[in-house]
Amino acid sequence: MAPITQASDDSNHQALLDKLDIYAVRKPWRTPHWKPPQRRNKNVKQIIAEASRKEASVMATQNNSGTSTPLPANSSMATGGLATPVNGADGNLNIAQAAQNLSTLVLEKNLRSAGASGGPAVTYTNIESAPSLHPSSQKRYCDITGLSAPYTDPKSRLRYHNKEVFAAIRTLGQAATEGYLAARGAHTVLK
Amino acid sequence: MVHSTPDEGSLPSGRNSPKPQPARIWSLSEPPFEGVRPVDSQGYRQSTPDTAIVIDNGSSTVRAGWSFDPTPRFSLPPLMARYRDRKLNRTFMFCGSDIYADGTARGQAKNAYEPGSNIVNNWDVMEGVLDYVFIKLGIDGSAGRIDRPVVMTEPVANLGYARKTMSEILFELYGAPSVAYGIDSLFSYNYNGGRNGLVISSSYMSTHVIPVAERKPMLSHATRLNWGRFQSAEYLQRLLRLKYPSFPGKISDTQAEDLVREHCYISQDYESEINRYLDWTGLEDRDHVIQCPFTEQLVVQKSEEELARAAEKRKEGGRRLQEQAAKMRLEKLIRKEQELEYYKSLQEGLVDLPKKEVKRRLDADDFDDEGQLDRRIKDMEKSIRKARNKDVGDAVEEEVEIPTFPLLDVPDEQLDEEGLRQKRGQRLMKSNYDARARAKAEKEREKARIAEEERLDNERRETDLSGWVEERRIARQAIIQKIKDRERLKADLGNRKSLANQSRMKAIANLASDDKGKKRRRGGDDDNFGADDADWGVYRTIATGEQSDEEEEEDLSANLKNIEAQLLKHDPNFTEQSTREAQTDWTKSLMHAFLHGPWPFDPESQRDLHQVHLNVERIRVPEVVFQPSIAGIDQAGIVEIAAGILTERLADSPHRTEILKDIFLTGGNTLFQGFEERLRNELRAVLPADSPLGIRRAKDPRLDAWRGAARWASQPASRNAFITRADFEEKGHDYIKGAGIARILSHPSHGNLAVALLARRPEPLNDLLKSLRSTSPDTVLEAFPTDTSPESLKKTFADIQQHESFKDLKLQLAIYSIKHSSKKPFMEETYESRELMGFSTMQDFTGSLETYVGGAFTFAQESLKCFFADHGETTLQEGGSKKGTIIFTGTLGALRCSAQFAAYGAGRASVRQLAQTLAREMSEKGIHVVHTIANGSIVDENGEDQKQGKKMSAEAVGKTYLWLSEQEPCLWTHELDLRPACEKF
Repeated sequence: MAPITQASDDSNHQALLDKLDIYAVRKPWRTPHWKPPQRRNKNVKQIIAEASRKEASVMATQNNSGTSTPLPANSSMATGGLATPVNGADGNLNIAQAAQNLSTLVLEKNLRSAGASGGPAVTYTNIESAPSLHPSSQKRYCDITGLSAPYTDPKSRLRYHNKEVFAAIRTLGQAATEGYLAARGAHTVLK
Repeated sequence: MVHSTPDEGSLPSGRNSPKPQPARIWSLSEPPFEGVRPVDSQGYRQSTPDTAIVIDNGSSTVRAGWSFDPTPRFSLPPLMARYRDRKLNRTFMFCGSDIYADGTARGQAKNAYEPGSNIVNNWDVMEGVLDYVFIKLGIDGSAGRIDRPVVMTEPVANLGYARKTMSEILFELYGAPSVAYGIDSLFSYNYNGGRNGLVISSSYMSTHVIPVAERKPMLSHATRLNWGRFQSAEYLQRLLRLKYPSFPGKISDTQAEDLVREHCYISQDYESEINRYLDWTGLEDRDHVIQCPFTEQLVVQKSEEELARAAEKRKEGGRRLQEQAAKMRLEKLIRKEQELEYYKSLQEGLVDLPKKEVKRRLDADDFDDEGQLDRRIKDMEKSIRKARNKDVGDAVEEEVEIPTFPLLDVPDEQLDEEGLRQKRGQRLMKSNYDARARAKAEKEREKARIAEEERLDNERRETDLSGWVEERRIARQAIIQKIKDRERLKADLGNRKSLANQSRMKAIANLASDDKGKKRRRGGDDDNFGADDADWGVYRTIATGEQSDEEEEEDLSANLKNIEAQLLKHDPNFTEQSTREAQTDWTKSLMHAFLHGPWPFDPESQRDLHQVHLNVERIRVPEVVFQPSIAGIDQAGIVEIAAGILTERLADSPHRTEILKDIFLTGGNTLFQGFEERLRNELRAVLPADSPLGIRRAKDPRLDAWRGAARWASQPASRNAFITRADFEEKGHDYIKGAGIARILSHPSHGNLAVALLARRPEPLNDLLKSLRSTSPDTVLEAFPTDTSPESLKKTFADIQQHESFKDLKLQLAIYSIKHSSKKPFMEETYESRELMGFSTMQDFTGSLETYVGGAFTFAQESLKCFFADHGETTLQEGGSKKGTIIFTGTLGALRCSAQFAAYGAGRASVRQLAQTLAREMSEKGIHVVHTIANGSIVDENGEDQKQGKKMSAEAVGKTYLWLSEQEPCLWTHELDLRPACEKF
């Protein structure tokens, strides 16, 4: 146990630790016989996978409902899908209708009417921002210096600003190259 | 700082003049240990059971205090270290910044949140942090539980699992009476008096954009960008690791965060600013030097005086030695002179003596004849002269007498033996002499040749300057190329897979291998290696490292210097700027500016090696929020998100104008200098020209979320939003369990029944309704909030009959399905029933019976009334048909009950018996009464657990209930055991 703070030696450091420790502090408000459920620490991937599976099972039911209860094309409009800007164009819908199978059509309509009544349930995954469509997301910056990068090294796929940076790139090892690519999310991921 | 323009800053050589030493050098922050925090129980004493504990459960900082506090009482990072010290045989647990007090604790510390996301995934740490909060708030805990409501913040669209586990901890472990969750950024907005606006909250782990209209968040338009201060710090760390791959120091996470906070700012015009960032002018201001701690290598510096003394000492020693040598030489000289005297006197004495006597005397002194004596005397004289010269120091250059070799011309026949020997000696001496002369002549010739070459060169230069220059330039280029090649080779050898390295390995393998393809015969062991001088070159190619090329390199650069000097002298176009030294000068190097700023770098200096220069990073790192693609995040930046919400999603909203007027910034990541202006400028650019735009920042972007939560919690109106412990215990975290059953019953393709859902709390019920309606829009489904007391149940049944959806519809199926769980050691079980937050609870034994069994009783009675009213009272015997089905969902507890389940078992068993007596009494009247034993958990999803038979799906239960209700009087199931395939019996 190495003391980190200044002005402390072994003896008063131990005293400090005793003061800070909350393991020995009485916690009367904890239910003594409560045991946490096993394996409650799940990683985010797991939690999200479970949540989306749950969502998917709801979607599946919607899909079933489509096959078993064909509805007249306009009924969902009548039930309140009227005002959403997305489905304003009825003509489009009818053209699309011919090309789609019935179940997906009903699914879509269900979703839309749901949208009218407050939108699909908001979930952790579906509020995530979508990929950018803005042209600025295509801007290229030098992987090494961050300046604008008109060039790309075909060998390492690194973007670079000028020939001096290029010379530096050429002296980089494999690991460093991958590191730079990883910082831009363009590295090769082996699975 | 003298230079303000580039012209001023550059010398005539084209090099930039070095800058003065940096005005300020930053250092890394200390570990943020905040000292021992005392328990502050004043708040607890001041509080009443209605005062809420407000916890802003942020991923960077957890802030806690009482709802009446103006600011949180304290804040701590959500970190915990728990470990066992084997030496002391004792477990330690440290929370928050306390972990920084100790090395081991710091090493053991874990974060409650999954790094990079706003989801709690280490609940042990979360528990520790809450323990810490409750300890430091001085909670009394005499009741064995936290006896204050808890208000806690959570991320937008929190995952069900996270909220479930949090509720589980708060209710079951801490026994909180009630809990409310809210979104931090909305609390902050509320606190800052927002009504209609767009909340942009960039905090530690993520950035959210949420539109708010009439104080109601439009969560369906909320958008999250996975970037916050944490990611910025991580990105900076990554960039620095790449920038200084062999950096000897270490920058910890907290230090990186502090660096981001202290040095980064939002560029107003990123594109052009970043390209000018490494320009020489003003670089000293843009480049921030961070000095990491280092230990200077001690070089013992001797003082001038000491050095002089040492030199003196050395000299003294030398002098003494010299003196000794001189003395010895002198003695020798004297001896020699004496000898010479003797020989001379001998010679003189011989003059007049007869031959015989002469011979005798010569023999006595080992001389063969007089000639020999003569030579000896001559030799000695010479050597004495030499020695005297040396000692006295006046080196009179002895005229070199050309030696004569007289004997060589005499034919052998004329010489006796002695003569022959002398002739041989003379021949040897002559050849030596000749060789020396030849060498001398050679040297002369070489000198002449060089002089001639130079003369020719000069001549050529004078006649054809351009050709000469061209030649020199080519030569120079060749040398530069050579230097570059060598550098590349060096770099290539560092790479294991490079061609250079592979051929080197091959050479080594060849050298090491014994046979070179040919089988050697005995005796033919010599492989001729070294017969050709070029063979040794192989060692040159395989040698790496410092010593190998140094000489050659020196040679090359000397050559280069030479040529450049000539060019400088004679080529008018070749200036100081064109020399390689000037071109590769560090002041002109972009990479140097990037790595080391406008200051020289000494690779030997520990101080320089431990320096980190922040320049481009200062705007590159925070820019990611605006351009996530920089860091490889495949998401839109905040301006694009905000613009999308404002111009598209809210295009038709009546509140759009007001929302535009109030763009609200909160969260620590918006604190960067320039954030507000940049956002304003960019939004202005994408919004229609005439639209109003107002941007403001929370008064305190860090604390306002907590303050908002506290203010909200102290308002009486907030009481409705609390989930009570009773709710939790009865319904669990999963309110929507009934959804699956109801969905199947109401579904057109299954039951196609009109369903009235009864539940104790209206909000989850409405959510449920919404989701059900969205999945099957044409079903009839209504919700009726009620509890299980006789009065409210009666009223609800009356309401249902009145409701227009159920007009003219007959009751067919009534299901009593209530979550009821209570586990308690029997001696802790309390008898009486009481109310909490306006609801009767199942906390106590009688309360439990009252709500569960009493509810079943009233529910059955009311249902029966309905059946008879709708279908008449004719019995089966009298020709009546089946009137309907009542299903009680029970559990195994109704048959066999585990320890500590007194209230639970009593209740479940009672309802089972109630069902039995009802069946006996009502069956013949056409009422089908069923008691099901759901053995295992029912969840409303269709996933892995269902496939593998671990849990029942609510829909399957719904289908079974539907089937039960369709049974005809010829076969009625009374009791049914429901279990997933893998449930134990």
